[in-house]
Amino acid sequence: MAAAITDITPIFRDILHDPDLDLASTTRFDDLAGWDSMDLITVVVEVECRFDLQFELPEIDRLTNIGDLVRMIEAKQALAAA
Amino acid sequence: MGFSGFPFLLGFLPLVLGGFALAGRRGEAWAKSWLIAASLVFYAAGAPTFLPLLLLSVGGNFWLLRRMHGSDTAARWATGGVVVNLAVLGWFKYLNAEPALGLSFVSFTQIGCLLHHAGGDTRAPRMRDYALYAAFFPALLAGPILNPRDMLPQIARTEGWRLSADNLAVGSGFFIIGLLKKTILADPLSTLVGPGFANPAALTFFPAWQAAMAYSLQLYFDFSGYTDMAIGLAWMVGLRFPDNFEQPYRAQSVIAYWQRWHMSLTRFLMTTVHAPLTLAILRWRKARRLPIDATAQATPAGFFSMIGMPIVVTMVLVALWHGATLPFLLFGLLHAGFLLVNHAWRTKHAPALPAVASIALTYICVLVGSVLFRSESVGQAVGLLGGMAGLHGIDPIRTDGRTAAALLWLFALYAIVWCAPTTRQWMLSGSTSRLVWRPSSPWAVAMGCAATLGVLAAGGTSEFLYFRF
Repeated sequence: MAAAITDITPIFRDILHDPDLDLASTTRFDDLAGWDSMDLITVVVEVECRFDLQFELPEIDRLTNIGDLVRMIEAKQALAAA
Repeated sequence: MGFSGFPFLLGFLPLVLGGFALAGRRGEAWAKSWLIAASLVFYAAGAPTFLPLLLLSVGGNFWLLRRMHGSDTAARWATGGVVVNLAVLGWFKYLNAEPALGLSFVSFTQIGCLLHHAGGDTRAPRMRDYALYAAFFPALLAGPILNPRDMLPQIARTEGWRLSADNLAVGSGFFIIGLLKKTILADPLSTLVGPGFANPAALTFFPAWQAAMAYSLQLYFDFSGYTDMAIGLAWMVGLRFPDNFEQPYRAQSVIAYWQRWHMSLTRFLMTTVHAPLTLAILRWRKARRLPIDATAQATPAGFFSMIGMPIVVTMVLVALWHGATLPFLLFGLLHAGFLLVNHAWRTKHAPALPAVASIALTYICVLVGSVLFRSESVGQAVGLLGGMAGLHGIDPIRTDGRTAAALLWLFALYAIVWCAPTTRQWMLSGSTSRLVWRPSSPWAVAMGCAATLGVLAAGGTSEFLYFRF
């Protein structure tokens, strides 16, 4: 999971304009300074492009923290590789 | 059959609870079946001609859910189901001579369930559970719009379908507070609201403000009172409904207001309209190598496409959901405008106003919107807003006893709105303060007195304002 968090951290830093932002799997989106629902959708679209994936809305609705997002990326990558 | 009428309070409710206690002893299936039967009787008592429509709607949606499970084309079935639900709702809400009671809420609750199952990998609920989810009488006529993710697991459980003292105590507390909000706080305001909106062109500055303020308070106490009663009824039989209000008139921005007013509708539209539209727009921009970051969102074109368009579309739908009239449409567009200014303010990182000024400014925006919301024509709204702007003159405040009593009453209601805890905070805080409810003998006596007061006041009670939607 650590590698995937490293991969998505630049996306969060860009969107939240915070070059020093550090993320952990337990970091809740709602606890990030300035976070709103628009940021979540922006992150998802950036992640879709970065990892060549597509998220469904109910999946996005279930995301509450960084760990959720990373696990979903890994699950989709595994499914694509199978 | 409204919750605050004698037939419900003295006939239907005691019968339902008594029957639930007996059915619960025979098991889960009996208890659920009893509640479904009671819900159908409740609906038939209010709108007998539309009972077949309710049955068809629940049956049709359940058939679709069963069809979708395990299907590769579940998303298509869900889309088709949403279209049919909206078409039926549109017909009976806008084109039929007599609107179908509660259909907006039943349809949205079921649309939410279809979309929840659109992936095809979620097992459909059992028929009895789905019927109770879609047609349970406390939420049948005016919500809250139930989220399948929260409600279906509660309904599917097999234990706990017994009438318990704990559930009855807390549930009746919610119900009694809701009853008082409706009968003691909201209904008397109609004597200020009705005459004010009947002849708005004659209103000078202070009477116009009084009429608008009285209506905003009436709408809040009426609808939040209804919601407290619905939450209480569900609680009595062991089900937990979501909140629909979180002190909305204390909001410090219009964005926050919509997160705290009619929360179940806001959540539903954010999930089903705003989020999908925003997602589609961002993907479209990304596919064309257009930026989607915060800097792009702050440019006029980026702001319009990524933030403005989803908000305008969502608020127009909010307006049309309430009714296909010009005042409702203007209400939706006005709130879209407020939200856009609010988002632009955020996007530009403009400094926040002091809390009191933010609350006051937000409330004035909401108040102006509520004038459009209450008005039957644009002329009526313009007349009242003109009075509030002083265009019809500014007479000194009258000093007679009636005016003083009305002002005192409004002052007391604002004190409740801005200072009192929510019903949930008051009932469930667990605080040891004597002012907070707890299951004790003194509070049982107090709630008994409050219930008596509420029932006595219910004699002349009016229908809930949100039943028309």
